[in-house]
Amino acid sequence: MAKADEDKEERETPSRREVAKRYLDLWDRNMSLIARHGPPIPTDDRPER
Amino acid sequence: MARRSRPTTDQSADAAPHRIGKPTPLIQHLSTALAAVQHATLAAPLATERRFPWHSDLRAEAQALPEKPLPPEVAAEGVSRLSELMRGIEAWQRHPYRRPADTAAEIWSDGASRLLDFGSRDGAPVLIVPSLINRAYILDLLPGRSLVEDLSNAGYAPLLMDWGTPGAEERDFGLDDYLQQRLRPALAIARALARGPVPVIGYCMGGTLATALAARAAKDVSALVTIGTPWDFTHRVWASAALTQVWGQQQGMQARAVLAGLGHSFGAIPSDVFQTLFASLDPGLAFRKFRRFAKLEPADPDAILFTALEDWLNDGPPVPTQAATEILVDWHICNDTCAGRWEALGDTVDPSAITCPTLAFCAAQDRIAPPGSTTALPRSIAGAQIVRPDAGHVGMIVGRNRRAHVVDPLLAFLARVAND
Repeated sequence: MAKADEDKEERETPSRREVAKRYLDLWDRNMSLIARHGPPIPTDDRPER
Repeated sequence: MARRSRPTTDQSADAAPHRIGKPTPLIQHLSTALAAVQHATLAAPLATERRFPWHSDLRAEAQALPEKPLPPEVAAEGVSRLSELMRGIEAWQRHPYRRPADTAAEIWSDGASRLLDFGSRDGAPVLIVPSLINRAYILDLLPGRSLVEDLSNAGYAPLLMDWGTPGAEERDFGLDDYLQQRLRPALAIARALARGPVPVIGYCMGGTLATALAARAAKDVSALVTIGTPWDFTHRVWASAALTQVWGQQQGMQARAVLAGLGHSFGAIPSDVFQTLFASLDPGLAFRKFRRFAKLEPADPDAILFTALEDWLNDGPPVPTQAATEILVDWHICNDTCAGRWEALGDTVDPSAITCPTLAFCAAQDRIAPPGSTTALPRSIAGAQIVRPDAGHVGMIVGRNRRAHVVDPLLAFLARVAND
């Protein structure tokens, strides 16, 4: 069971790291766009009453 | 007793002396990168939510992330990127490239300024005016990335104004002093060599100065070319507009006071002030570009270009306080150029008075002189042509597509003017 967990962890780590990479790339592009065009208009996602 | 060599922990021991402590402003580049990683890590759990403040261009892409980014993974990747940034900076500091000494003939000088002749004796003179806040050699950066080389190869005699480092003679110079005492004589020499009026090419704010020549010394100028030349300073990227809002109260009174204080302390406005302002236009740029550089081999042509360009960016001269105040306050904050209040060479500079053929390069990706700012000038000049390179402010001069987007249209324009 422990071995299976380890294997699962190994399989998942690169994918999580890949998500982190994509997120950080997006973060950088977001900073660049904000410097150019200004902060985004907030989107309110609260459910309607 | 045997002498033991002292262990060194100095990472910059083999760095080029002119790169130590740079890129300017180093502390801002490093703290911005660190803050980006910290903030991104903290905000990671919210990244896929609708309320997350993604720019509209990115929202769909962010929401399509396969899962929420996890703070530990983001932190680990962020630390790895910070290490890459440091490796890139150190690789640049240690890079073996050194700019060779200028070989162009100096045909005139006054104070710190020199007029450099890059052409053959029988070539048609063209006067080139660079910005005051960066060195002239961006126009002759490397073989194959040199506007003066392109002009020389096409049979012209490019005469490049090199402002030099302002000394005692330029200490109190304003922009009109540069025009009256430096550009006017240089134009007279170019005219004498050409035995007639000459084309004037201005890069960045050198184009704004060249516009004053074309408007106020019209009989000596046969054509005007502006490259990334700002004119309407109400068109700014958001970061620059935000700064202007802070410093622009009461016709920039606070900014004038700060510049006067800096001038009093340093004798002129240090280049760091301009570099700090430029860095704010794209805060993540240094983080991005030095990480890219870290992956290049030193002999890679892209690494050599990067090093030469980064050296140039970090080699800006100080600017006399009066001239810097006119650039940052009268132009940038008060928009005197576009509002018809800028006085030079004895009167206000009115571009609608320019009658010579005019070509303006207004780059689509230019953050320093955005297209709205640069196109305002040719739009005020009857018959002026506008070319819109898909490049940035510096990319127009040294970028990959410079030949197709800038050099070829420029040479075609100069040939047309010569044949008219």
